[in-house]
Amino acid sequence: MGEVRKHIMAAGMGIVVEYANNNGKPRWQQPESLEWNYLDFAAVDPAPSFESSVTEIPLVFESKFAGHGAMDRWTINGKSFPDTDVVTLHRGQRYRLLFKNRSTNDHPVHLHRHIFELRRFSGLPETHGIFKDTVLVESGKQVDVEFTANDPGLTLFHCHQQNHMDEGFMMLFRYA
Amino acid sequence: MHNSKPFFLYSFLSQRRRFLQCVLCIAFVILLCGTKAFAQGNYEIQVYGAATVEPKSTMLELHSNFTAEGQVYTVDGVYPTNHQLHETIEITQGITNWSEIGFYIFTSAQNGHGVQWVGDHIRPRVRVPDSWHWPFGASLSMEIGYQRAVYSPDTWTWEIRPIFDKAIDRWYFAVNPALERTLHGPDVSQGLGFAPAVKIGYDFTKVVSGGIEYYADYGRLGSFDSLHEQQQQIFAVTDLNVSPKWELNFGVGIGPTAATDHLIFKAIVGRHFTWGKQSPVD
Repeated sequence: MGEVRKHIMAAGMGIVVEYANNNGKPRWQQPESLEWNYLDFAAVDPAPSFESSVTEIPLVFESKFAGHGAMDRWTINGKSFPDTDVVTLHRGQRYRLLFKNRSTNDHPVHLHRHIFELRRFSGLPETHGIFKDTVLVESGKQVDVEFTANDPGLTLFHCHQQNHMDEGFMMLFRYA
Repeated sequence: MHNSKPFFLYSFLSQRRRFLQCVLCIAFVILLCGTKAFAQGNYEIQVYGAATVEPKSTMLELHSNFTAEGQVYTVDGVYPTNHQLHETIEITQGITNWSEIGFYIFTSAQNGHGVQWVGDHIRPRVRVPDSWHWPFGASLSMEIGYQRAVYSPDTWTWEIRPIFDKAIDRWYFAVNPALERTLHGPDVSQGLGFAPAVKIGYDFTKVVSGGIEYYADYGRLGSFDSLHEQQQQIFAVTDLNVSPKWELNFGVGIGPTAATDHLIFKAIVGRHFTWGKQSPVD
């Protein structure tokens, strides 16, 4: 198991997993492409249009330069955790999160406690039928997702890259 | 579960370590046999960072250095440096992700002498791979080459340059404690020369960095020249990080000792080129 980009694996991002009672040399099957398209898994029937009853929540991802010898500080709507705003959810309400990535990095963002539906990628028509709790938001792109607030409790939202979390890429939702 | 490194990496890493050890051994054998080195002079005024050019890519740099106030007399057949414009083309090809090789073409333009070819150097370099996880960047370059006697009395010279650097937040530090020797020329019996270079930079913004570069030639190891006879230069510089494809460095330097040109303007303009179609997984 490992990072599929060869130079990153060569720097140590790889591990051999051995099943109990199995022998033999481990094998690595190197993929030759990094292409991935969520829409390959979308429902084929036309997506329903956006409903006005859905509450939109824009989340803008940006970074603040801290020097070439330091990690950038990450912000959501201009603030870094723990100073990020806590967004209040109402049980049963449908929400659309607008992930706007204005940074130069891709971010796999993850919402705890909930499953969201991918609804729109930058420049593409509405989609539906793809349910995830993590989605990769590419640099300079926007991804819209929808979910229903159906699991009360403090809900963490964050980038799944640990060093981005460490530098502030987290926020909380709470239920009213 | 096995160790956290994939098994196939071990033989590769050990081969690289052995190669680096061989390079170091060869370098020090030459040093032990050696004598004083040539100072590259004001043809390439640069404190090296530890990074090397990536494989399948080339860095093309133009070093432009103008001596506004330098030696005005011809000394021992060497042209005066005053008002010389040095244009140096540096071509560096990445070999592996831990090695590169560079080529230099030195030229000089000056009233009364026109545009002249000065010489050429070759400079292989290896660095500590990322997989070693050193807390700072480290590499080792060796440079050998020829320059015409009217520009440097020592015509064949050799240099070994350890390179260390470290970026901490907005600060950048680089040290190049270079050792030089002359292979052919009047200084051939002068022993090893010590010519350190140091850079301290600060990132004012993501694009604009500023700092100080220090260059010196102390003379023979173990028997340094007097301060008056040493080469000492201090440059105020700025680096513009406009793109990973470009390297831009500008500076103005003073040389307070008698053996140093007193006022120099320098510029480095570099462009990074990538060759061939690279797989996204490489």
